[in-house]
Amino acid sequence: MGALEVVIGLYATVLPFAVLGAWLAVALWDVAVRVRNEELARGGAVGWSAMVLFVPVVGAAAYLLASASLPRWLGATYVVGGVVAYLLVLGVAAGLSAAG
Amino acid sequence: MREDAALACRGSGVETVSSWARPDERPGARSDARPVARAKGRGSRSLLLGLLALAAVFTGSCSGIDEPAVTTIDMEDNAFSREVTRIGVGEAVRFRNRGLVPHNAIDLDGAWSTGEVAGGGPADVMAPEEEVTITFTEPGVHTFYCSLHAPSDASAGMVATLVVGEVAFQAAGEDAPDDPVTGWTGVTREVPSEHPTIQNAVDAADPGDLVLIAPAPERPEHLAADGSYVYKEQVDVTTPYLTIRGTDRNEVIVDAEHQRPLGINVVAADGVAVENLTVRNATANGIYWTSLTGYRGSYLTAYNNAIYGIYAFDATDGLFEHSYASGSKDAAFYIGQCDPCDAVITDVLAENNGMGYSGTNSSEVFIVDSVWRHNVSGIVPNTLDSQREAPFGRVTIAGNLIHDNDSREAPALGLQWSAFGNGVLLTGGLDSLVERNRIVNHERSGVTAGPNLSRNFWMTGGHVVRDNVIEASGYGDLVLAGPALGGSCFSGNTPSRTVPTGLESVAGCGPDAVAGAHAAPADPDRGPFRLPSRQDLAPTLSFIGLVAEGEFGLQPDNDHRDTPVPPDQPPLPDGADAPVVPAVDVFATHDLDLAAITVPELPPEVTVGRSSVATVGDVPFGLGGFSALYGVLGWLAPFALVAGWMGLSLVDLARREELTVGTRAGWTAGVMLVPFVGAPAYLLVGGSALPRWLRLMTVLGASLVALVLLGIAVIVGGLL
Repeated sequence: MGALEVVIGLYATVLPFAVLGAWLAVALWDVAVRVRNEELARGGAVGWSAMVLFVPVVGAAAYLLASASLPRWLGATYVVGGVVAYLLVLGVAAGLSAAG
Repeated sequence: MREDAALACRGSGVETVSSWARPDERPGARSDARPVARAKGRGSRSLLLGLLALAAVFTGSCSGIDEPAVTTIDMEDNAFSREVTRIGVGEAVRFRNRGLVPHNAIDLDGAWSTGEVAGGGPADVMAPEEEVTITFTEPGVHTFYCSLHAPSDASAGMVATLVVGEVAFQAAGEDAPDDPVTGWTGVTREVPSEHPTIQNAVDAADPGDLVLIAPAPERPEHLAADGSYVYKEQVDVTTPYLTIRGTDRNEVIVDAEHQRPLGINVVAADGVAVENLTVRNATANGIYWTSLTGYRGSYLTAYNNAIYGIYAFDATDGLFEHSYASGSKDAAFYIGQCDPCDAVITDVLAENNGMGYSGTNSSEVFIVDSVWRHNVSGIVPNTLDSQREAPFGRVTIAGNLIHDNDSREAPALGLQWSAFGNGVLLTGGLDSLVERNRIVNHERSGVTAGPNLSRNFWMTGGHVVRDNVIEASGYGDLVLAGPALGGSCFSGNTPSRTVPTGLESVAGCGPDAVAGAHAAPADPDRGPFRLPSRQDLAPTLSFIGLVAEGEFGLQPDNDHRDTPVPPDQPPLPDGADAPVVPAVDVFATHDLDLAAITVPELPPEVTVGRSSVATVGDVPFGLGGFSALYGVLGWLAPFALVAGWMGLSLVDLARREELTVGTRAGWTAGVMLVPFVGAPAYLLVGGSALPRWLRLMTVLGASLVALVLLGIAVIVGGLL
């Protein structure tokens, strides 16, 4: 087993959690910015935050895709890109695993 | 390569000597020995001591003081590191225990011993990592031996020779092997009616004889502290092809009285069978075979022997059957340092030990149809650098009942504690099969395959774990601890919880999977597409936490002498009249039908149930503070750092509206796709709008703090 396989394998294990953490961070930051800019009422902010925090995976992804003040393309990049990145890394790791 | 003292002074200050012998030399005169020093240390905590020693080398040892050259002879488990060592007159030998069990070195003629040099008796032992240095001032030849692992005539086993000065010496050649004695000679040596001691009978016997032992006579010299009548002796066996048999398994007792290291000690004597008797209270091992081919232990009871109960080392072609062992701090049954071992353990019961089975660097061992219960851990094949033939491989574990091996009442040594709470623990070996066992009630795991850190880092792979019934494991019914080699697969075990999650789905076995694919993980019998599941470090770090507990002495301190005396065990059918069969071609003639083995039933007295342990990211909380500490610092904290870097990077990219779409998309891809360094690279060189101090603190400061905390934890845990 080579070092590359170890690194990619570890990253494949870490990446989904890191991507989810990043989605949460971006979504909560965006909620905070919208509150500060008075684009979002306190009730709405609480509701969005609760959804982002308590609906696993889907909550943060839905916020980034549908309700963020971010450019639509950027939200999609984060969500779809995160999923694609995970699948790519997973595929490489599986390939190295099978070849190793 | 030997160098003189002046040259050694420029290096480490200590040099070792390669063994060599001149064919025209003959044994010469003896030499005088003078003890000069004794040092005790622990290699695992030697970093600081090593630095201090390095300083001493450059400040003291090289200041012109004429120190004698020192040659190191390592004591491994169970051999000296060289058979013949030559030194000059006035030079010294440093004996260093690099094994995991005690050893000593005793001159055959009684001129010196490591025990006496250390201020004790001649047979006193050196614990692991202890050292004794002896200076030899006269020319001569010394044959020396370890009294725990060789007979007192040094005829075989852990024996070596030291040649001091230019004296004649001829290394002994190997004796030509005798033809095996496959049948009984018809001669029976009876104890005590013909021979007063077992040793007398063994010494009088010829190959193929039966030594038949009746219960010890009711005379004062045979009276034990518990009121029973026993044989108070250590029996050294060097005659091959004997059958040593008790007439009554429960009444014929060899008692070492917690004074002698061994009960029955078979050294370099092929084909010896020991049957139908009890051995107890040895300070090392109950019944021991070493350096031989062909052995059998049948209807034996071994209890309250300090290290091992029934033990074969550097021995091949063997069988342990219908036997019982309890109250050993290391293992009830042990087979070590053999490849192939060609050994079978069947219908045995091990309870109240450090480990039920331990096998270091032993391959081709079959452990079947036995019961392993209430030990600190159950069945533990393992790989260590302290013995030869590493790693272990091709061990078959089938049809066993393995339950409640998470005892805090059983005796255990520190290292053995690191295996606590596992039914089957495959550490650092390859290509083994765990099949059709019933494995229930373990605080940690039913079956774990993981790496082992000895002097080398031994990874595991190529195992097949299938069709076991595994229930009530606190941490995981199946655990694959990373980093691991490929080729291990898990199917049909009906686990309720695995680590990593979904192990049977991502690393399942095909219908025709066979053990042995660590070198060919793409084996189609393991499925066409195997998800990576071999890098989960959380269970490994949890395991290291137990090692730290052992280093700290936090494991329960149970005295093996307090282990309950077992009830009477089933005797050898036909007793004294059973056929006499020397242990020749044991493996080939044993009827082992693996296909017929089924999952054993759960006895009605066993209640299934263990509480699941709470985990975060596979790090267990509730299996000891060190396990959680190492899991958090070694696994969760790096996880959190990577997630934090990625989150911070994406937030910052979202804010930077001055960038083009292509630049932001490109950095986003880099942050996500480049393992571990993509996000830090963006934060450090990507033109982030975040304050510089924040970026430096987040990337470099947090990494440094994480490493320092982990380093402190490793040092505090005694792992360096």
